[in-house]
Amino acid sequence: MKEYEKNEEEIKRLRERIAAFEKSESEHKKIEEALKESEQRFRVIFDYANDGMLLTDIKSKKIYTANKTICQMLGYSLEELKKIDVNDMHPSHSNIAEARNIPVKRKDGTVFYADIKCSIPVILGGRTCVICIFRDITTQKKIDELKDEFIGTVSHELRSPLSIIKEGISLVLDEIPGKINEKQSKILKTAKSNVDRLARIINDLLDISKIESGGLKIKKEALDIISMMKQVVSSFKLAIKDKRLALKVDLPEKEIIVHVDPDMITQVISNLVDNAIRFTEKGHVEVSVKDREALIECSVSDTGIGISRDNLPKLFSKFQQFGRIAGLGRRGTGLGLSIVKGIIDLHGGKVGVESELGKGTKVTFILPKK
Amino acid sequence: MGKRKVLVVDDEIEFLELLRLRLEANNYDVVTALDGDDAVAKVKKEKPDAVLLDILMPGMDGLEVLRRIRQEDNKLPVFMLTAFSSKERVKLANEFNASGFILKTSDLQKEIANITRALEKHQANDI
Repeated sequence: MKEYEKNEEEIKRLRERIAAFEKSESEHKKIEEALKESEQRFRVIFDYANDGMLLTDIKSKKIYTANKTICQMLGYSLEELKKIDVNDMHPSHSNIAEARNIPVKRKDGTVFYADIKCSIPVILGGRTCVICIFRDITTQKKIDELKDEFIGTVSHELRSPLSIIKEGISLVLDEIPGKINEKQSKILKTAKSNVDRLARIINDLLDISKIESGGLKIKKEALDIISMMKQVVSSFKLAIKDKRLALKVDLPEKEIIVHVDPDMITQVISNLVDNAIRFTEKGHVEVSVKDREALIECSVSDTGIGISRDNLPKLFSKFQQFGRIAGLGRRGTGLGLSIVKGIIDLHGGKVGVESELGKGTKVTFILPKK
Repeated sequence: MGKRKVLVVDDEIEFLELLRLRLEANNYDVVTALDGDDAVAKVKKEKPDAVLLDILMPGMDGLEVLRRIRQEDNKLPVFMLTAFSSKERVKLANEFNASGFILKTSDLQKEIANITRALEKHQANDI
């Protein structure tokens, strides 16, 4: 090969290498730009999120980085935050996955409450970190407190005049101020039974609002469900006799100890038996309890009017009253079964219903014994 | 047995007057007080056989009145009146040895019959 031809070859190779280099550099730049853009996008989201975020080194308990929101929440600058130990802020910080209503200390020593959610550990720059997200619930807590206070006040303010109306009517009905005739007595009895109904609605509304706001706390105690069932059923004996219904009781002979809130479960059984009697004109009401190892199964069934297939899914919703017969018997509030479901859910149990129109209804609930 | 004297304490004057009618019809002598201070004074002055005491009152509430009554007299039957019961209140009142609870919206004739029986038992135990 001639000398100049060799040089030409060399130049060509060099050109190709330069072109390849230029191409790789522009790709590099593109990647760099994409990275920068991604970092910027992340930063904007990170800093402007409504929730406070911290990236914490699990081992050293030091904060790796934090967003602007958490700096504002805590009153620290980012540099100050990086120097403090997370345990000073709240002791259980790195050991939680998700926790509600946790007290968190600010720089000035004051405390606010937050719901905290932490990620699974991730490796960043050779360090094992967790990302924790803090949601300040101060406003929510204040609203809940105001709501509870409002409900408490309203229920008292409603019940006080109600007690006066009821006692006024009762005094006249009992003929304490003087004799009344039969027509007057009938009118006053109607008025009185509706005052009672209003009182029941207020009680039920109060219960349902407590269940929905999470304000109803269960206080579990060990008790024998069989004797409780007997006690509740015996309080309905008169009502069952008044409607000339038969009462069937299918209970195991031995006691069964369950850990439940006694008042709440009494309310559940009462609501179910009350419903069964109210919607049954002939036949029987039956209560039964079955021991299912770690669970207990209780049911209340009747031979009443039943519920149509269409209405079954709506049964546990508020203010649903199916098959109410105009002018007959004591009216319900339409809240009884919502309360039943709320209480059983709180106990970690399940409630279900089987029903056939014109044949009867069976409501069953299952509760864990512990 | 002569008439028993009962002190009824409630800031709601209308409820107080209706309860007075009911108690008088049940053969009680009725003394009333509209607030906690008056109640504490009347327990000393009137020496009632029993007290019906509203829990929620402005100023000194029923639980505080009960606490003060108990400082002087641990045996006087005191029944708490309430528009609605709460577990916390029942617990507090039981700490001060309340004799019972009366829900204002319940059947008051039945409640008073229960109180009369409780007072008869109380007096029988005293003799």
